[in-house]
Amino acid sequence: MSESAASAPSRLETAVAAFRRRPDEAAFRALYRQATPKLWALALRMTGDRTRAEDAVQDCWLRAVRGLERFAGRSRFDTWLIGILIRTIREHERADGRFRSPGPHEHETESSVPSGTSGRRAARLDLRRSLPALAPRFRAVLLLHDVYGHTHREIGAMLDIDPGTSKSQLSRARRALRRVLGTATPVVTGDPR
Amino acid sequence: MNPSRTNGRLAEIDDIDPDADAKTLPTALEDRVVAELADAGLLRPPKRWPIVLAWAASLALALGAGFLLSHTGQIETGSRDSGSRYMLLLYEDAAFETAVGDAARERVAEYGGWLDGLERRGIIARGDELAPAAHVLATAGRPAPPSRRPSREARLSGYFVIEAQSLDDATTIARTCPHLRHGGTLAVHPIIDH
Repeated sequence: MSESAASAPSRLETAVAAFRRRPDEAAFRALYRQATPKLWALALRMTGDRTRAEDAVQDCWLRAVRGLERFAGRSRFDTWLIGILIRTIREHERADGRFRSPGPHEHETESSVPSGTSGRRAARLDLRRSLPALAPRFRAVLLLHDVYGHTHREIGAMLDIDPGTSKSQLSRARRALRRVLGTATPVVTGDPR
Repeated sequence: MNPSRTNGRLAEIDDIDPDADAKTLPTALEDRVVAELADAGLLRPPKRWPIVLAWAASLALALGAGFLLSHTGQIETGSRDSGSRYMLLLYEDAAFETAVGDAARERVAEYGGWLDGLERRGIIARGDELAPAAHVLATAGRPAPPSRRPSREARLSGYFVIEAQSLDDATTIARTCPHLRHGGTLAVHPIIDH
């Protein structure tokens, strides 16, 4: 059964309200089932790895439930939750030493990047592996805007950044991904923040 | 060939299908998350009729089980995990013997003991007490039909959801509910599983 975009958040908000009233297992499971499919899909693309995605979603929920008192309802719950997921993934990757501070690749222009020799189909096949090669913030902005259709204002709320920053990071993310897809070797760009 | 572009977007991004990705969510992850939250003390235990007085619960359990066994010989024991679900709606009207103070706590323990007795027999059951306030919904601009309108005197005060093999079986179980012994009335509704 498909749900309209308008009804999905209201079901989620209802589940959040029920869990806040009574934070027991049944209420949490109802909330989990409303929110996790999107979290999972995003985590899977962000990490490119099922085990890392599972760890991220699990840790995200732990943080969210612990911090539920701080969710004031000014933003949508899924917006708040995605922000926690992105921060969780960034922290996991920093702890693993997967990303360093901004490096020279980040300042390259498209014209300075050698053209790839693989075709579009190969690029598509590489996408799953290439996305995690981008900095976490780039990945997040790219996926949230170009795949999930969130506005820069929404992304700004999720990532605690200015909408203008989201816009500029999207441009840089597209450029970085284009560069990654166009080269045989994944390029690791620095986390811009 | 360079990656293709559409209005700044990379066309390859369109190959990502969030709905398809979402369907790969591991089912076991839910239990893992729940277990971690429970271990961290972040989930309350499930609510049921609270057992306020342990001794009263034990007594009620003994009496309830005895009552159940003596009046419901046709009820099967053992697992009923393949049964249907039924909702038992509890009503109170002027005939209901209200209880206050210690008597109210004993009453709650008695109902809890009845639930425990059902569960010991493999009958999956849960229930909650309902607050007096309720919103009765009906088609806009029209009163609720009589079948959906609570009577003037009776109020819905609680519910149980049980699993039973049939409506007759559920009704037989419902007849053992202590609510009836205190003058309350009870309606058994089959739950339609979608």
